[in-house]
Amino acid sequence: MDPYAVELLRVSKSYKSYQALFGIDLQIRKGEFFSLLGPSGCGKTTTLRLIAGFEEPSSGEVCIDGKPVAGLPAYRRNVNTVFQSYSLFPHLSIFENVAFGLRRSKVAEHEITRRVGEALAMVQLSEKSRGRTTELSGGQQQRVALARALVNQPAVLLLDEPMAALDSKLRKEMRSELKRLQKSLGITFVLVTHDQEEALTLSDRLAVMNQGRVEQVCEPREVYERPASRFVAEFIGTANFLPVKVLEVSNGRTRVEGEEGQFWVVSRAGFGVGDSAELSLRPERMWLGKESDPLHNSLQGVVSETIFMGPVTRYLVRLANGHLLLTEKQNLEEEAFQTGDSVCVHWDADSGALLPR
Amino acid sequence: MWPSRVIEMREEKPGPIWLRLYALTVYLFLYTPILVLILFSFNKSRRNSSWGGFTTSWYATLWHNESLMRALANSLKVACLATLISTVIGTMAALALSRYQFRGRETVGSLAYLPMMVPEIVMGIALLTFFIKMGIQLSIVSVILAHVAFSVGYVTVTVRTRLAGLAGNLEEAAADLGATPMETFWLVTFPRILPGIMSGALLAFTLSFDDFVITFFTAGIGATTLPLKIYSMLKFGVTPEVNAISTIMLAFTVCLLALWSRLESDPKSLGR
Repeated sequence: MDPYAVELLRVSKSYKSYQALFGIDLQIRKGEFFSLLGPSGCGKTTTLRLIAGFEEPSSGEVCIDGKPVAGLPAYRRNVNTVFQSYSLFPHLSIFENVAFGLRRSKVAEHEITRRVGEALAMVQLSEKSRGRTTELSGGQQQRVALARALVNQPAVLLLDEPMAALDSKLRKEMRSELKRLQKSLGITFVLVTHDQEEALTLSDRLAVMNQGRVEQVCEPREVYERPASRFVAEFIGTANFLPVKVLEVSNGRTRVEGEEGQFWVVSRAGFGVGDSAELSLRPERMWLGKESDPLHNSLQGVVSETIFMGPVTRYLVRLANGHLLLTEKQNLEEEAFQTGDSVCVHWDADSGALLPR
Repeated sequence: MWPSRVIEMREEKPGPIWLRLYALTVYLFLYTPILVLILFSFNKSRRNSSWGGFTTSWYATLWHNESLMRALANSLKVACLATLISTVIGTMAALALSRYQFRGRETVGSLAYLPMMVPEIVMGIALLTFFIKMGIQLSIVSVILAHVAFSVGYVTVTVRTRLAGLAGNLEEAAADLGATPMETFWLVTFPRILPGIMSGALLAFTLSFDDFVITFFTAGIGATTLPLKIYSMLKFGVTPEVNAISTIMLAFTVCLLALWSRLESDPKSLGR
């Protein structure tokens, strides 16, 4: 089998006073756009630095292209990084910034001219090559940083929160440019970000990290619809949680019982009869009706608050036991519900997800 | 566009008249003696008490004063060598202090300031005692060693400030692009701290070239520097020759300091 572009095996990293990573495993496939997503302090940047070679793991193994890289310093690794602060060399011209890596690997002069020209054209900065990096805007500096890394044709491109310093409009533009570049070049991209929208829109697969551990690795859609833990469900989007107990597992469906009643949900490996679990429900996957519908899961309640948000309205529904359920409804032409209305909340069995409790 | 760099626009108003007069008085008090010295270096009369007309002949006679020229040569030799040595040592010390963690780092860092605080006469006596105890002959070498001792701290402090002001992780970026630690130093770190090194070197040169007290204690026979020579010339009174050589030294020092302040304040040399 093709070796992974990057593989981490039980990698731990501890500093003097705290442990940043607790034995994480990661397999990043060749040519994929992979994201490390998590809140600040979750260990995502440490993971990136271990791959780049700026730091060595305390234990475990990092492999790039199937080969262990322990003891190999950053300047000998076939990976390049786009830093959060771009870290362009202010004393060199834009051309020389991009040529820096090629000159280190003793590429012939005419070859350098050609490749730097191509790289700058790729990020639409051809006409600026003789200029200084200090004359560029934030977005342009970002693109020079990208060209400077990609011109070396690395096995893996590491991106450390590359868009954090840009304003939101520029960030959206850079996002599509990044995706376009990655697709056309076929280079493995590893993106570190705390922005869930960024990770969901860009990644082929992503790893959600929390407190030095990997919570879940999968495709964006799955991470949203089948979160592996309550942390993941809450970090990516909004969710309601109902504590339940498994009653019956049959034909890919699981029947659970909670304080509010009995519901059907898609079965999930690891949940057997008698287990305690949490049922996670996304607000936009539930709908409101006037009468109960026996074909779907349903719950009776009273609308306690409506929040108009433009394209959608959020409803907070108070259940019989006093718990609040958040639902979301698109603002179509049909009639809206008012505070105080008695309603039925419905959802399909495959809209919920079982989480460990 | 640099949103982080805010340029404050404020109308500059001249202060009230009495404040300006006061400032003028202070500056007159400080600089009149120097102006008089410069003026009298062009005095035709040998006496400093009366003005005998304008001449530049004293400057010409300086060139023919062999012992004075020898002192100038000594001063330049001492200043150049002391600057070279203290710049190399000071830069390396600054790099070690800001790049590595080691025991006693804080102490060593603070010790760099010591030569600036210690009274010169104490430093002179200490160095003299040290040289005698170590059996080092007082000569031009001992003067150079002494000058290195007091100027190395200035270089360390200047370069260290510069290192601390370097933005971003440029060294990691260089390593990431395949530069070995040596290449990273010469291609990235060194060009970035060069203005700091230059400014430290200029400061060291100026201090060494002008130094009297420490040189007085540590100079041996044949190691007479210009300040020592001027002092000995004073035994025959303040002649126009002394005024002329002092004026030249003053002009030279002012030039060096102007260069230094340019390096320190030039926004381009900061390379943000």
